[in-house]
Amino acid sequence: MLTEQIVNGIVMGSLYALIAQGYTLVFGVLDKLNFAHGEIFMFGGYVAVASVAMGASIPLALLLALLACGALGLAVELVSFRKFRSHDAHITAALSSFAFGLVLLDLVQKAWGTEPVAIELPHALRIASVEFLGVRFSVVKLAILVVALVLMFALHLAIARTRLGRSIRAVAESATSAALYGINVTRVIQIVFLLASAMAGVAGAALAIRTGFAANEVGFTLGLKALAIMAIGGMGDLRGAFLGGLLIGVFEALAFQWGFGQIADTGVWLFMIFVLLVRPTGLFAARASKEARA
Amino acid sequence: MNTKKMTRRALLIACLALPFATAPGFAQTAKPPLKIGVILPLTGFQASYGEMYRVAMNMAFEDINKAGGINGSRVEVTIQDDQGAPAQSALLFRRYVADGDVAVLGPISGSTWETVAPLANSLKTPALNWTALKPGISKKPYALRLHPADDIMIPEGVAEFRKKFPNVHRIVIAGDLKEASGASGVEEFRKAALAAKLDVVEVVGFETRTSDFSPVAIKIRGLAPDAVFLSAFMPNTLALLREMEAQGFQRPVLVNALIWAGALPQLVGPLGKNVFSIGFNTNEPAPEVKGQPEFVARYVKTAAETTKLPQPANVANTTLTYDTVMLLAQTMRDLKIDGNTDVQKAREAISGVLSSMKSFHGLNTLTMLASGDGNIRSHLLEVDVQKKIWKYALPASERIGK
Repeated sequence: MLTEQIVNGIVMGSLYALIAQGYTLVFGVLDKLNFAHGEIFMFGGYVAVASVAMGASIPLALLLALLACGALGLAVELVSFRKFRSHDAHITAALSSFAFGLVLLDLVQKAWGTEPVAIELPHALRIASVEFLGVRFSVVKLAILVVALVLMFALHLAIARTRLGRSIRAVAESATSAALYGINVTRVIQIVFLLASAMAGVAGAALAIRTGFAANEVGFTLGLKALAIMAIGGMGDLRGAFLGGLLIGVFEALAFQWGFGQIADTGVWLFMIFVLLVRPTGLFAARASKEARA
Repeated sequence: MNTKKMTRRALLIACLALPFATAPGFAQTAKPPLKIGVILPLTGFQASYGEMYRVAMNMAFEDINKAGGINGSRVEVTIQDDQGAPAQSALLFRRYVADGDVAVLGPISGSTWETVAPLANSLKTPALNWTALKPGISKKPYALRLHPADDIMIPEGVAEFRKKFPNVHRIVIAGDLKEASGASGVEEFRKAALAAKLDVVEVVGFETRTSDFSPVAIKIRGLAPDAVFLSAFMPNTLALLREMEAQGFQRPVLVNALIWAGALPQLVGPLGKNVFSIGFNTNEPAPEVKGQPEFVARYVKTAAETTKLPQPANVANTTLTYDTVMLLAQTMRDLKIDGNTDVQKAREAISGVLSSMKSFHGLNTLTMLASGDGNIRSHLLEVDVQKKIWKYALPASERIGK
């Protein structure tokens, strides 16, 4: 059971990491928090529900969630961040994105109601599992883990090895200098929001597929938790968000196994406070974040 | 000539007044309205529960006003959203008191009711609840709950569950140990299981806002129980059932009345065959109860027309919602309270009558206990997967205390 719990924790952690990397990507470039991110993640689940209900396959549902949420990310950038890029507009952008998220939540509730909405997967797929060394692994969970890892690896490659990645890193260092070098800063920021939101959308769809339901409270619960994971891993650090996500996923799974399930959520926040006290840059940040340096 | 003109004028006035004179509210217009406040969660986690109770409440107030109001005063109802948050419930309650409402209906959950009940007594304003489950939180004489609490319902449900599953010996109890209703359910399940000589292998705690129930299901599966007793809201129950199924682990799951109300029967699908709950009413017509079949039909129709609740809407304890409004209205009628009555005197008089009430016969027959809680005999329920409704798990002849 312990191995199964750890594997389960890694799967959940990979979803946390997908959301947290979206937060951290935006924070790393703009030095601002996108509070609509959690609700975009939530919306991904509903896109999956609607897609499957209309006959789409699971991969297509994930793709549609990626596209729809990516497009929403562009809207968030336009509405809540484009006008508030200056360094003294942290609160304005945060409030605006928070409001954007609330509007999205309200629209989802109006369209689908407040109850969880079931995603109709074939029964055989829901219960499909493979056994390895006496431990049972759900096929759906393993597939989700693979998708999450591939996406995060692709993001890592894009940031580290491509021209686009260099532009993103340049804007993160200094938007003014990047503009002087001919980089289209607005375009780069748009792409950052597109990537971050698309990943959140896939995470939302994957969660709905995994649990069998899309629920509108996950934007608040898991979305906020991913924010804590970003802080634990290291603000603005993609690798930190990845490792932080896995760490928290496994921590939660083990908390349930050892009888502390009712304090798993609180434990995450306490852990975040502890980490910020002893290592304000986060556990895995390679260098001090702008906030820590300030 | 003058007489003819007068007659014509009188006739004209009579014709103009006729529509108003025949309108149901005509007799009421002379008196100010009676104000009643309602606190429901209309947004947030419990919004669907608020919505289902709002339908029943509107039906009751509509019936009262159609019948001429209360002692000639129309009832003016204000329904406000507490989002299921205790602080907001307390704020709304204080606002209703300040606004001169004679009584407040709700809030509905254990946490919110526990917060408002002492407030009702300190502000000397009657508050009635028809749904909270945590024992020991009603405060006489002003805060009364007509619904039986978990300490009454759970032993009744467990007794019938034992009858249905005589081979169940080892159980795991799971639930939210922090939320008021969840924690009380876990405790009452533990007591009832021990009283029924069941072996409680372990109590597994989680949080209501938990999204991933895989670790909970893995933990429970590892304990290999014959059945699971669960104190949880509907989304948690659905998530746990799905995870248990995905892990190839299917056992009967008895959930307290937290899922009796809500949309579980419509959403659970084939997994519903493993779920049981505890309650005192279903969507099935009960011809032996006067008015119940008509109420069920009307409630389902109204909910379909006015809400987005999954269909067919689950009637559950909305019969008690209706009864609660009718009980309050009847009390005010008996006390000759109308819109001209001094509000504080009206509140004291209502509280005096309700806190000393022994029983009430409406769509439900309830007896009031010394604790300030109502008692209605509850039974084991199961999901009719085809019809998507709750039904009694045992035939009438085998139910305990029928």
